[in-house]
Order: sequence, then C-alpha cells, then structure tokens
Amino acid sequence: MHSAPGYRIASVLVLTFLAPAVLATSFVVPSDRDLIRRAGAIVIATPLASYTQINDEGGIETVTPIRVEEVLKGTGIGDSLTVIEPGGEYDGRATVIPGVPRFTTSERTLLFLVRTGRDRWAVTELALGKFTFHGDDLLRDTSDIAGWEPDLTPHVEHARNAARFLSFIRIESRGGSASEDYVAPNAPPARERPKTTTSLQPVPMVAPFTATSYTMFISGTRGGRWAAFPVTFFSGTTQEPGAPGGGSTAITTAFNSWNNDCLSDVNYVYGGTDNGTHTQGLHASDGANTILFERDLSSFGVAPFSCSANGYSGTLGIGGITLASGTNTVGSETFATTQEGDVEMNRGIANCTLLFNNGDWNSALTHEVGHTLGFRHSDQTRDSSAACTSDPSLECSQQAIMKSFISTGLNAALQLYDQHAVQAVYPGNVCAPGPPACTAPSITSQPQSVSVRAGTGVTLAVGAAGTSLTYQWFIGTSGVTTNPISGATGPSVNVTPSATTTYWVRVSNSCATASSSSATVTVTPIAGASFFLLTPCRVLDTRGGTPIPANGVTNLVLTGKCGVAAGATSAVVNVTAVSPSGGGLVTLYPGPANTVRPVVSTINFAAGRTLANNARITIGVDGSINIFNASGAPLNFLIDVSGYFK
Amino acid sequence: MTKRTLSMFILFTIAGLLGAVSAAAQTGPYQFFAVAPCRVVDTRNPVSTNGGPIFSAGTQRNFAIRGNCGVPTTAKAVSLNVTVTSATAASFLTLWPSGSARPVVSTINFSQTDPALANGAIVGLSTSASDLSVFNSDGNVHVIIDVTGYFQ
Repeated sequence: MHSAPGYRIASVLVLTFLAPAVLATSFVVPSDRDLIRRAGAIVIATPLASYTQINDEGGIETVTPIRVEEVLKGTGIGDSLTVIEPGGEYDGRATVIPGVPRFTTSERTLLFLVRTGRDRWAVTELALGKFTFHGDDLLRDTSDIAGWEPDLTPHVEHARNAARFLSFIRIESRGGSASEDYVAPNAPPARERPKTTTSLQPVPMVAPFTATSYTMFISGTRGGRWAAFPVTFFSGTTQEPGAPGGGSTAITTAFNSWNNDCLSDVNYVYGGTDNGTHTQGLHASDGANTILFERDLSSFGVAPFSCSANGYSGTLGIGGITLASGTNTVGSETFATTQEGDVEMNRGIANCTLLFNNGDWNSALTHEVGHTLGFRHSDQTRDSSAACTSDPSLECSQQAIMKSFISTGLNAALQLYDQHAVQAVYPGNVCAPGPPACTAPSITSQPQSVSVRAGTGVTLAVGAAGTSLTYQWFIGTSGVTTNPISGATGPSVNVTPSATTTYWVRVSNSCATASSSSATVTVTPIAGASFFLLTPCRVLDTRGGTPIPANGVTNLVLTGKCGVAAGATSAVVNVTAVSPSGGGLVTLYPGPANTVRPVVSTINFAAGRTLANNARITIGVDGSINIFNASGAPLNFLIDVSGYFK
Repeated sequence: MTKRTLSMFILFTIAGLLGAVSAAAQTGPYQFFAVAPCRVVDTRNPVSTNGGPIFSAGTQRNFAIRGNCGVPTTAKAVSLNVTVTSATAASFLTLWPSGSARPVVSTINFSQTDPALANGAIVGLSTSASDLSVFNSDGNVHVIIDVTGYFQ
C-alpha cells in the first residue's frame, strides 16, 4: 500500500479590485420610451478610435472620441464628443466590467448618452443604450445583456426598423407620442447569443469528469482527500479586526456552503478559537486544522493586502492540505488521505469594510476552505501551471468559487462547477425531495354581488384551488390593481362601503395568478318609512323544528310572511327565548347571510326562564334577517310580528 | 288612511314614555328610518360620554345618540334596546329626552338576580349635544343601549 510520508501544498487566491464594485450584468431592461426619457443626448455617430487611460481613482477607463452625424436629442452638441467607459487593458493590467459597451472603429451607431462630466459622456444604462446599423435594421449590442423585462420575464431583444425607430425617437424626444411600430418583421435577431443560466440549486453531475480531475496534485498526479467526516477546524487567537464575528462569521458561512450540498457528505465543523498552541498554519504541520487571520505570508512571496476606502487589491489568503498520508478511494480512484488542512488569511485585511460588506470576504474564505478539501482552481490545470482549457479531461469554469481570481458578488454561494467538484470528490447523501410541483390557482367559487343597507358590513369570499395560495383583495373592477385593500390577504374580506363599491380578488402562487370576477356591494341608503299595522302573527317558532344552533346563525326571510310586505325596512316584533338551557343573548340583524354581525343584543336570557322582549328589527335589502344565538346550547326562539315600516 | 294610523301609534308611544302628564308634549308626525343595528352606549367601556363609569344609586347620566350609529342630528326619537347587567340591587331605569324634568315612568325593571335583562323602547331625543337622559334608582348597574332606527 502506498504511503505518502507527508505532502504540503498551498494554493493562492489573488484578488485585484481597482474600483468600487460595479456589477451590471443583471438589468431590468427599460422600455425604449423610458430609455429616450433617461438619455441626455441621442446621436447617430461613428467611433473614430479608442484608447485607455488611468483615472483619478487609479482605475482603467476606455476613451472613445466619436464623430456626430445627427443629434436626435440634446443641445449644445458639436460635430464630435467623447464617450468614456470604465474598464479596459492598460500596461499589462486588465479590468473587465461586465455589461460595459465596446466600440468598433468606423461602425455606424445610434447612441443614447448621459453626461458624466465636462466633455465626458457615457452610454445610458451601459450596453442597453448602444445600437448598431445593420442594413435596414438597428440592433442592440446584446452580448452582455442577461436581463429581465419589467415584469421579470427574461428579456427578448428584437431588431428595430431603423427608419421607423429613428422617427419614433424624433417624435418622442420633442415630447410627442409616437406609436411603437418599428419592431422588424420576423424579429428577433441574429445577434442574440445564448444566455448563461446560473443555478444555485444542486445539480447532479452530467459531465463525464472524474473525481480526481477536480483535485490539486498532492502525490505525483494523485489528489488529496479526507477519508472521513466530520472534520473540525479551529480559528487562531488573533481575530480579523472589523470582520463580522472577528472572522468567525465568514468561517461558518464557508463551512455551510460546502456542507449544505445535499449530494455530498462533506461535514466541516467549526470548533471555535484554538488554545494558542497551534500556530503554524500552512507553514508546517502542527496537528490541528486551523484558520488563521492577519498572517505574515512573505515567505510564500505574498505582500500584505492593500485596502482603501475606494478599493482593494492583493492576495487575500492561502489554503491547502498541510499533511497527507495513506490512501482512500472513491469508486476506482485512489487519493492521498488528507491529515491536516489549514488556511492563512493575509495581513492588511483588518478593517477593510468594503471587502467585508460586499460578500467577497465570505467568498475568499469559502475558496480557501475549498482548497483544504483538495480542490484545484476552476480555471487552471491541476498543478496550476496552465489554463484549464488546455486539458480536455478537466471541467473548466470562469464562474466559480474555486476560480483563481475571485468572482465578485458570489458571496460564498457554490456555483455549478463547485457543486460538480464537491459531489464528485465527496459523493454521498441524498437530496430531500423538492417542493411539490406547483399547481396554478383556479377559482372554484366567485365572490358574489350583494345589496346591503348603509352602515352594514358584508363578507365577500372566494373559493380557489392550487398550491400554496396567497390572496389580495382590490377595490375596482377585476384586473385593476391600483387600489389594494390593506391587510385583505385571505380568502374572505369584510367590507363596509359607505357607497356602492366593486371589489375583486387576485389569487396567486409561485407559478401563476388568477383573477376573480368583480363583485359589487350595492349600498341602499337609509330612507324614511311609514308604519303598517298587522294582525299579530307568529312568524318563527323553532319548537318542533330546528332550534337556533349554539353560537350559530339562522337566516330567516321575513317579507312575504304574516303580511310583511316586500320592501319593508324594519319589523315591529316581540321575541321570546323559550326555556333556555343556559344563559346567553340573541342578536337580530339584517340579511343577507354574509352580512357582518354587529356587536349588539336584542334579548338577554338566563337558564330555565322563558323571557320576551319587544323590538324593532332592521330587515335586509333581500327581505331577510339573521338570528344569532350567543349561548352554549341550541335555543328555541319565537318571533311574533305586529307591524312593519315601509 | 294607513299613514294616519302610523302617526297615531308613534305619538301614543312617545307620549307614554314622557309620562303623558301634559298633552302639550305631543309633536309629529314622524317617519321611521331603519339603521344597521349598532351599539351606541356601553358603560362597561372606558370612561367617556357614551362609556363608563357604571351607574350608582340615584344617578342620572346624559348620552349622545344623535351623530352616532347613523342617527342624524335631525332625529326626534330613537328606536332602541336597553340592556342592564351587573346590577347590585333591585332597581329601575328611566329614559327620557335630556334637558326636561325626569318623568315618573320606568323603562326597564330588574333585580340583582338577573344576569342581564333587556327591553325595547322608543324614546324622544332633545336637541342638546347629550340628548338622552338615563336615571338609575338603586344600587349599581351597567347600561347598554343598541339602536335599530330613528324617527324624524
């Protein structure tokens, strides 16, 4: 059995960050009309040349003088102007900022511009404001647009008919309103390239890359790998000044990122601060797995990290396998068994607030911890000697935690490449079943229109089927969302409109929305009425029938019975609670059945004692009343009517 | 013919409540306006014009009916249900339009053995801000008034 006497490897994460963070690959793509409004100037122009220079902040910027052919919008613009965009390559250094427009000399373009300084212009909304003439069409430079429409569906870029689009711009720029009739037939367009999709969900391996192919050289061409988990790491006694938790937050964030891939059995545990006896880090094996801060890395040829208020640059840290011996296997592949892994973060990071705030600090820790798992850089060969793409047996990625230069903005989240690596080298575990498939909402019963007396509340309800539904009620006709009702987010809502009002409800879940039909609550104003005398008549007697349920409501139509005329607004009655089995009260209030019950009482009663009371009870517009029995037992109830108002 | 019957009924009722000592108190005729049932007075609530405190023996309080529960300031009489609870003695309440002498009538009679008791009534309203007077004869008692309509 091969036994390695002890190997050591360190891998370095370099981070160069010249300007304050600009991340611009995710746009909400504005409408053309919006773009016209935002632009300070709109010109047809041809770039003359481009060159790079260093700006006041030390960043690289690209300067492009352009010859102006026609000014569609803007004043005080001469025959030429200067467009300056961030990024470029200067003196062996390069800064690439995604989304920034690039110019080709002599290419006739339509530019939407904003003024960024005296004699300085920039393209509106980065590349979104640059169009190029192709025959009769104008095409947007979409190469870096991975965007969304305002409704958050993926943006689809269409070709525009040049003559009609320019006419549209001329009219809109003068404050007019033109029709958007310029989308070219059989659009879209040639120049759209496939969008890169970034899924942060665990994705099973599809590529035929071996586990070994994701690891660094440790012993010959053999990679290093832990034989068993859990593996415990300690932090040193020196904390990282200014970092959340003194650096411990980044450690647990990094561990969670690697631990939480559900197709991998990685289990790193943070054991807290070491007792001070393990101080060697990657410099030498000291028997403990440690993550050390503010370390002197000059013996690795690494200078202190440089940080200012505007930016930072340098090497953040190193991480790797300090000691390996023995072997273990994954499938048919053999690895040297990792015995000790260490991470050392550089000097000069203290109080680098910008770094701590934007997530790159977490990504850096996650990257170095990845090296302790044995992983190579995603963009380099296994011995870091060449570009990854030079070896067809390797999966390569420029979008990964394990990329040699940090990918700004990942905030420790594993990318597709990182997931493939951890699943290949440390397979195991099973993913919990995903959420159930989403069933689109459908409305099974619509809210109903209703007529009520002024001052009476009514309950509107919707029935709906679907997965995990949410509700929002609106005032207005179905589809109009300008007047949502605050707090009305359930399947029913109580409303008390002072005048006739229409309502509807939108039912939503993660996959779709459904709109109910409109329901109108018609409010009948209070009106004067005259008294009509009736021969006394028992209109309700529940004895021998159905008593009023305990804490329940019975709806009773009064009109048409005992001579109570249709349209009666109130009845003069004597109500009787018959031998109640417990104490309680009865509330009589107007129909329909979905009227909101007011807090009033018509008669109070005690157990065993038959009691009567005289009342004038308001009748609903539908001719009915509701009888609410507020007691713990069913109640026999009588209503004798002796007259009504109409 | 029917309308005439109405007028007579209302006048009789109000006059009865006012004590019917003086025929000069008669006014009208009035129309009835049914409203959504509404609690306008509850002395169990915190101290306020139409809230607490509880009535004690021999006390009179004046409540504001008009302007509340949909009863307009032009209302001349109110259709109500008066409920008593937590009585500590056998007693009675008198309800009458505020600002005039308390009539010798009773609107509801009750005792301390009644957990709660109610009676319906139609009572005139004065034009004062607090337009309805309530008098309790003996002991302490909570008073609740719900309205179901008004006359004007």
